[in-house]
Amino acid sequence: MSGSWSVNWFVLVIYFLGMFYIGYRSSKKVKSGSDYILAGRQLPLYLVIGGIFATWVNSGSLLGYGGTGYTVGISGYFINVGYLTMCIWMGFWFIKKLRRTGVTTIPEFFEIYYGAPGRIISLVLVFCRDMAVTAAVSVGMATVFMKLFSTSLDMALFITLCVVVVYTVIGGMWAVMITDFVQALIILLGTLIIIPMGIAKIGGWSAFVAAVPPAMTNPFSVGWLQITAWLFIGAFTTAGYQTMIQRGLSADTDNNASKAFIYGGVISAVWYFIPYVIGMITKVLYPNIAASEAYLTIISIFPPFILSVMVVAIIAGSMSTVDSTILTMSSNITVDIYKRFINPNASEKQVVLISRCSVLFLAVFAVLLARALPFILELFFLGGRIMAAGMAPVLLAALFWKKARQVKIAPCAAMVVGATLTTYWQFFGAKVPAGGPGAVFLFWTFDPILMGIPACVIVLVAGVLIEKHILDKKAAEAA
Amino acid sequence: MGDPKDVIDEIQVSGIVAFGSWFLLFGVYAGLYLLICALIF
Repeated sequence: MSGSWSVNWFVLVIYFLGMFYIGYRSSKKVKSGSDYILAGRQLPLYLVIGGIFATWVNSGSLLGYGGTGYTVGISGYFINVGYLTMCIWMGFWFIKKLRRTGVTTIPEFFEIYYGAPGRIISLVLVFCRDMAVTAAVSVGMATVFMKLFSTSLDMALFITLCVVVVYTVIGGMWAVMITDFVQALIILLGTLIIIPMGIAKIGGWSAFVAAVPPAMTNPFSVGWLQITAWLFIGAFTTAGYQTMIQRGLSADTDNNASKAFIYGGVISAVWYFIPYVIGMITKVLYPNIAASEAYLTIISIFPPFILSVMVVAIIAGSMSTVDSTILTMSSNITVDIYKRFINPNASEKQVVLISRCSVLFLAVFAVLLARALPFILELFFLGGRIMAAGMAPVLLAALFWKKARQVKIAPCAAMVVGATLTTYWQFFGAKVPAGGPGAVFLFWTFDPILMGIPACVIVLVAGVLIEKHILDKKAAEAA
Repeated sequence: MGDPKDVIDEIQVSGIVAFGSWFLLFGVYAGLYLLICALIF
């Protein structure tokens, strides 16, 4: 996949300059820590919808899910059903409830009910997810860049992350959300072109359906155990996904926050058919390539300018995810560490400065992590599983179960048990050989999250009931 | 804005309704997915 080198550079440089310009314009809106981290909680509906869509779509969506579509066909779509159902559901009550507390970060929410231990444990779990996503998507983004421009992986990481860091450092959440909106449009238009052109090359839709292996059009071909694991992973990683939640916290009103989750989820649900169908089209056209090469291979059939737009689409998708995860972690460093434990009386200027420095530091750390652990998709799900099994059930309980808000020890214990068991199983659980159907994700014989979440829920429910009983008894004795 | 510990109860929804609606939503979503698969393949 080389295309026209000069056309590729031209399109990419124009795109990068556009991102810088948005960052520069956004910097004029940043006057306080709240402006930088949550855009002053003033974002209009369309920007929040664009941000939610763009955060769901990244290099993993096109390279990873395109590869899954190439390997297992349309049933891979179940990976997305769990998290998009949760995203839409969160629009109904979840995000409104959370907004009422006035928090900026998830650990801040946990401290309200569970004290400093709750904040620290949830901070570690939030970082597990967001650092993993940042590192994984950065590698995906750089891999595309490297193949297109024939650079080294390190140089590709340096160039792409520099662009992200510059506009995020200067513009904060405003820059992230406006660039995400633009990137969402590029992704939508760019990927929509592929399907009709690919189908035309095969000879029409009927020819495509006749040529594709029958198992690939079976909606359940991956099996119920894998589908269940995907639903668990998707639903619980989304429920605790701080990057996504902060989009809702940044919206100008409660209603717009709700609508953005619902509309953003529905748009993503429709869009997510695209990578799987692209994978299946590629299977028909190029039956003997590596699954991870599916997207990059099929776009090479297009003329230079369209090829460049396709590549920019994937780089744009990755940038919109990386800028969001870096910014959300920067808010954790600023609000949950610096302002909470180091300098509680920090001025707004200091808060913005620390946030900006954190963005830079986190980008460097993500690169080091990505280079140390180069297995992209497993890295992506490794941290997600730990957060999902440890924190998400407790967050949901805290929002919807009053008793869970009246105790302190059991929720913290549940987070530790869920996360520890999942981490242990990820390292020591029995694995299946990579390369079989769905091997990109089906790495364990029994997915670690199917151990971690039930354990977390059991400790949480039993612990809350016992602790509440003891507290009530003590209160009765004291009275 | 009131005490963060109390304001969360301003939006009343029982856990059963909340989580039941997730399954309902999942059912609708999975149904639409199957319908689309049946139509296009």
